[in-house]
This record gives sequence, structure tokens and C-alpha cells, in this order.
Amino acid sequence: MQSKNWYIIIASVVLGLLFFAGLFLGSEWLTPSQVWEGLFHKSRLNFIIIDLRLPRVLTAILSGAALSVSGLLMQTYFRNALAGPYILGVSAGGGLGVALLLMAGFLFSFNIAEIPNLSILFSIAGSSLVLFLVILLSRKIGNGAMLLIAGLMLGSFVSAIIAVLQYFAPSESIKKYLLWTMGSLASVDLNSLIVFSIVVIVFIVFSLLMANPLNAILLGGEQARNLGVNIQKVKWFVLLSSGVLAGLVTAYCGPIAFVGLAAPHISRLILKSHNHHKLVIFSALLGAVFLLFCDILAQLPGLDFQLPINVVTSIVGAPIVIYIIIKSKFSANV
Amino acid sequence: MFDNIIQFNKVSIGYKDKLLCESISWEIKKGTLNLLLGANGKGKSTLLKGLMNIHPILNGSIMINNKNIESYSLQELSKTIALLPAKSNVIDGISVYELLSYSRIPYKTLFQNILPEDDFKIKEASEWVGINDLLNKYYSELSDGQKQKVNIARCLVQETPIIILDEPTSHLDIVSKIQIYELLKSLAKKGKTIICTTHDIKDAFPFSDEVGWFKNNNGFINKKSTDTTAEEIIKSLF
Repeated sequence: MQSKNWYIIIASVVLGLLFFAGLFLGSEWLTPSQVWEGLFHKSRLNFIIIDLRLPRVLTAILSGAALSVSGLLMQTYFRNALAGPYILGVSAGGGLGVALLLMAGFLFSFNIAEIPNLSILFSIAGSSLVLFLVILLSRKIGNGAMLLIAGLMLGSFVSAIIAVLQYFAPSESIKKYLLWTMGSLASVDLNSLIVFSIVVIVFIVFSLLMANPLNAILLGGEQARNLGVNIQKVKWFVLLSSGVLAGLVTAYCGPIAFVGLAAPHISRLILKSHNHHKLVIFSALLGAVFLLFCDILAQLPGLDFQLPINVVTSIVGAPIVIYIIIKSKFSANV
Repeated sequence: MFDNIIQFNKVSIGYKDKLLCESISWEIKKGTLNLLLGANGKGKSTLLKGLMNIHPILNGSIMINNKNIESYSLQELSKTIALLPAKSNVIDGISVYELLSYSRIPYKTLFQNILPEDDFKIKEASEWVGINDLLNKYYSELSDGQKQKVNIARCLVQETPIIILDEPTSHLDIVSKIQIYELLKSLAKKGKTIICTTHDIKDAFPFSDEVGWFKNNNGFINKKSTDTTAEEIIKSLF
């Protein structure tokens, strides 16, 4: 038990170090005294630190934690190692909202894509719509695995609609959309971050409070019920929480891959435990560490360009996931 | 104190379009090992589902400690009956200790992790069942016999007066089978009330206190084990 608390402390320290690294590193490498000056004195550095780097670092931390906990909830509820925010079509729904905004805009007399923050609203609307459909389906489909497949179907249906839109859209709109799908942690300002952080923290705390019912779900529905757990309630909780967490991140940052799938797995393997009392916090920390690390890589000093965050999460994440699968004792039947 | 902990009163079981069995009456005494027998599809599982309030019975009533089963809440039930299901569905990568600790969930408030007294109960139960040396192993790595011992320890950790086991010995070799029934018998002597379905009638019968079974011609009878023989039961099953 004690060693597991140590892992959480270590992950927190690493996250703290990365937080400062995120402020120091960037297309321009700053010294500690410059960062200090930027944080507390009005200057050009103040703009770089407060308006550019701080929101970006905080966005990475919150998004990483949100996606990771969202993935953890889905993996537990569906008892399926492949479940994640992508799977239920929630990310695709957000994509559809943005695609409609960017690519069907030519149907209107003015360019609605220019209105600020509208893409966020459209993305949340798209995610919520898909989530709502999944919840409707879940009332008809009791079996977790079947619901997962239904979610996949929903996702590919939505993706097909996006493809149709792309087929007819002007090339300029397609480019904008493709850039959005690559994800960006730079588009959230400090004001939006307040809302963002409140929602993320509230749902992570909810997930912590659900630790016992989530543990019971690991034993199968029959056993969970025998332990006094109302499975219907847990189902609603998981759909709502994972949907809101993933939907919000997609809305602000685009569909960010791999964190939701990989971070909970790495957490379980490090902790050697499925106990959600520790796993929820550790997954959140690890997701934040992973995404922040990827973001720092994406804009290393000395590079003339910034890589899209989704490119980096996949390049870093895919080998990690494959490594885990090979190392995992249970690869044969997870 | 009630001598009868469970009472089936003229219970009919079945589904909307199919009646399985009518007027089942059985009074189960505290601290006894009871076998529930019958051919597949006769209604063993349906009766147990009625007892656990998962699938409503069609007629009659089931009482536990003189209280109708339908008025038990999910939480009360989880502190009254522990179930060892026929198919264990435990996710891979869970250690035996972790698995046993989850059986304390009925006694937990929101966000309460394992407490020292839970740890004590886990150790006590595993010592009693004889699985101390397995606590740090993964459940999925155990042999079928070890798994069932762990599952019985889970029921003990859940601290319920009643334990239901659905075919606990179906995949076991003869040595493990006898070990499991010996274990159940001594549990009953400790005061636990046990209902166990099985197809291993001859192996289980010598350990039982009472037997209830679905006859081939759609009736249900129960007898004290001293008043019948395994052969008589098997004859009336076919």
C-alpha cells in the first residue's frame, strides 16, 4: 500500500518539474530569472509567460488528466482494454460539429467560422449529441461489449458524414478542419481555463467518490450487484463523466489521441493494481505528465516549427502501448 | 432466535410464457449445508435468482429472517447473501488480496478504502480457508481448485449469514471437490447457512444436511439427508 502512495508522490513531482520546464522551454529558451520576471513584472516576457506558455501548460495538464480519467472510466465499465474516449464516438461527434462549422459554412451568406469560440460550441454540441445517442442506445443494449460495438458504429457513421462534407467543401475549409483534427493546446485563454478546470476537477472528484462501485464492476455485473452496487447508476455516471471530460477536451483542443487509451494502462501496470482509490488519481497525474511531455517535445527549442500535438502523442504513445502489450503478462486475454 | 433462516412458501417460478415449477415449500435451518439439485433447465438458477431478488418469483413468498425478500434493499441483501456464481468473470491482473478486499464494499461509505479491520478480516478468512500463500498471486494464474477456495474466502470476507454457491465444483478434480465440500461443511458448522447447486450429487451428498430437488415430473421435494440416499435422489431426477 505504502509503495503505491510513493508512486503518486513521484508522479506529482515529475508533473511539477514538467510544469516549470513547460514555462522555460519553447521556441525561445528562457532562464529562471526571465521566467520570474515574466510571471511578476510587466514586460514582453510577461506576455510570453502569462498569455502564451502558462495557459498552454495548464491546458496540457487538465486535458491529459481529463482524457486519462475518461479512458479509465470507459475501460472499467466496458471491461475492455481498448475502450477510450475515441471509441464511443464522442470525439468523432465533436469532430462533426467542427466539420459542419468549417466546411458547411459556404451554405451561409457570411463566414460563420470567423465568429470566436463558435467552434467550441459546435464541438460540445456534436459530442453531446453522440453521447446522448449512446445513452439512448444503452437503455436498449445491456451488454457492455455490444454497447462498445454500437459506439464504434456510431463513430464510423459520424466519420462518414465528415468525409462527405470534406468531399464537397472548398480546399481552404478542408485545410482548416485538418489542422483542427491535429489538435492544439494553444487555443485556450486564461478565462476559458477557469471553466475548463472547474469541470475537469469536479468530474475527477466524482470519479474518486465512485471508486468502490467501479472496483465492484471489475468483478462482473452479477458480483457487483451482489456487493450492493446499482449497475444502472454506475452506467449513467460513466457515460456522463467520460463523455463530458472527453467532449470538453475535444471542444477546446481537438481530438487528442492516445492519452485516454494509454495512460490508464500504464498506470495499472505501474501500480500493479486495479483499485480505483489509487488508480483514478494516478491515471490523472500520468495523463497530465504524458500530454505535457508531448507538448514540450512538440515545440522544442532549436526547431523552427511546432509539431501538431496529435502527431507527437501518437509518435510517443504508439511505441509505449505496443511495449506494454508485449510486456504484459495478460496480453493473451486482455 | 429464528431456527429457520430462509422460508420458501408455495413459491412458483418461471418466466412470462413458461411456468417452471409450482408450490415449492422449503424451510432452511440456520447453520446447515443444503444441496439444490435438478436437471438443467428445471429451475435451480431461477429459484436462486428469486432468492436474491434478481428475477421475481411468480407466486408465493420467500422470507429471510421472517422478512419478505422483496422488501430487502440492494445494500441489505449484500450484507445478507454472498453469491459464488457459476461463471467467474473477474478481470485479469487482479491479485487475490485485492479481490478479497472488494468483498468489503457492502460495508464501505463513499470513498472509503481498505481499513485495518478489513485487512484483519481478509487475513482471517484466508487463513481459515487455507489460501494465505496465494494472497499476492494473480487470480487468473490460479488453478480451478485454488480459484474456488479463493471464491469461498470472498464469501467469508463479505460476512453474510447466507452463502449461495452455483455449481462450485463443476470443473474440479475429485480431490478438490471433496476439499470444497469439507470446507462448506465446516462453514455450516460455524453457523453459515449454505445453499449449493451441483451435479456432483454422489460427492456432495455425504456432507449435506438437507437436500431439495426438482423431480423429473415437475415437482419439488426436500428431505433431510438422513432420510434419503443419493441413489434415491438420482432416480427421481430422471
